[in-house]
Amino acid sequence: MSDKIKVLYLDDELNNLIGFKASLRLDYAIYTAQNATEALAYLDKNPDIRVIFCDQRMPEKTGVEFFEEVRSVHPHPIRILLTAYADIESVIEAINRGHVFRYVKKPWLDTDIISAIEEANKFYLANSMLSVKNEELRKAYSELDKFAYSVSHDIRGPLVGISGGVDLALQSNNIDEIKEILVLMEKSVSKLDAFILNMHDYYSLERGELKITAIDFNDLVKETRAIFDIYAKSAQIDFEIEVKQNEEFWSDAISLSLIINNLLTNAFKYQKKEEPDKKVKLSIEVFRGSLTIAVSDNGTGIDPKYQDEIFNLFFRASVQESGSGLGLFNVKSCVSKLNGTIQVNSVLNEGTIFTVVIPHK
Amino acid sequence: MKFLFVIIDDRELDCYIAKKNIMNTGLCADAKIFYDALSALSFIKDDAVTDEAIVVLLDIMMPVMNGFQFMDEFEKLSHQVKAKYKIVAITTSLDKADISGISNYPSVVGVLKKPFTSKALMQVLQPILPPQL
Repeated sequence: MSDKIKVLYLDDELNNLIGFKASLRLDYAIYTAQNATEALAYLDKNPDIRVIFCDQRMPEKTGVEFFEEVRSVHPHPIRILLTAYADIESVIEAINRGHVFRYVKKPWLDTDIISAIEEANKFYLANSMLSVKNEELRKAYSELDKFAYSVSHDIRGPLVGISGGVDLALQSNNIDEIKEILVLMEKSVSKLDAFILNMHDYYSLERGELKITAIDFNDLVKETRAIFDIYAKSAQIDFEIEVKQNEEFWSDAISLSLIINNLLTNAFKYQKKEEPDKKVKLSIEVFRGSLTIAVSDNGTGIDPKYQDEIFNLFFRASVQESGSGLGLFNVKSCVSKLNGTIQVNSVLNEGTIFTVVIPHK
Repeated sequence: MKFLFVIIDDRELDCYIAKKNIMNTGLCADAKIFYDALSALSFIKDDAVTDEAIVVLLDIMMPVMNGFQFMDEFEKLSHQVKAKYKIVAITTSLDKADISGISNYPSVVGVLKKPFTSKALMQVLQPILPPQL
């Protein structure tokens, strides 16, 4: 029922409405209204009505007047005028002024109505496709703007610093000072590298296709464990991984790794320096076809006023550590691509839990 | 004449370079470094009012509180406090709107593009230096 094309018909003559509905209701979802108020109420309740038929001669207002009014509030449905009289002048004018897509003569043949609905539907789909594409383009442009802006800061910034460091080092004869500069330069280099890697993730996510395979999570976290174990040891952080998987789970391994690695990187990064008992935990559970990934830490937490913004492109909530502003944005894109959800639960100075839930593909 | 310098920049390397450049001008009595604008702001608010002039090198792009947000807060301070601080905005931005935007704050005496030399810094500070004898 729900995938039938929704059609609204407004006419002051009840018999017309009944006849219309009787002959078309099998193929379309038909809404009928005897006056404009009723018709508008249907449109408000069903914004996905695609085609509106309206009689031209009605006591309160003409069909053309009704369409003129509808057009400003509900611009998307395709408007078709029904007329019994040779109102050809007003029909032509209405079509020319864009109020009406086409008109059907009364009394109508079912085939005329059906072909009108089908044509209108095609037109409707083309239009809405266009607005979807427009929306995508707008989003792409706005991200491009942000990128262009960030290039000057996130890429040029470290480079300018490095070149300044080179200048200083060249002028200095003090080997200790030169080494000090080199250490700082190395930090800038690795930040720049991390930024570029994140940017690469961003592009592969935007353009890449998902590769769905059966995932063995014990296998998937092997590499993760290897990388983060070293880090945990050197930073003296208690790191635990828990995997509970008793059933098959199909998904995209690369996306899942990206999600897990980014969340873990954050958990390790935003630790409290003075905390003697630093902890990071990754738990993965597959249960009844749904995957839950939880990454928790007892680190710095996220200020409540930033919690809505942390998934935005290039947003950074911390002055403590420098991030690219891409990590959580990438995580969120991955999660949405897999039709999942992500939630953050964080208390400032106590810790953060990120919970990702992804359905079976 | 010597100034106290305050450097506000989230990048360690840039602070280090800025400090070296400041030292090279020969105008520096002491330099304080802040890696974020919020703590610099609270330093300025808490600072006991003396007559000593203070030069602030302010990076525009920083997380949490950027240079613009810092200036919004700074301009709210009392005239007495503001008069003491000479703010030089530092930026890698190539965006004209950024540069003219930050110059519009009354307390900003100049804008420097990174990387800057001690010579360029001297030039920006020229108007606030006492006339040469």
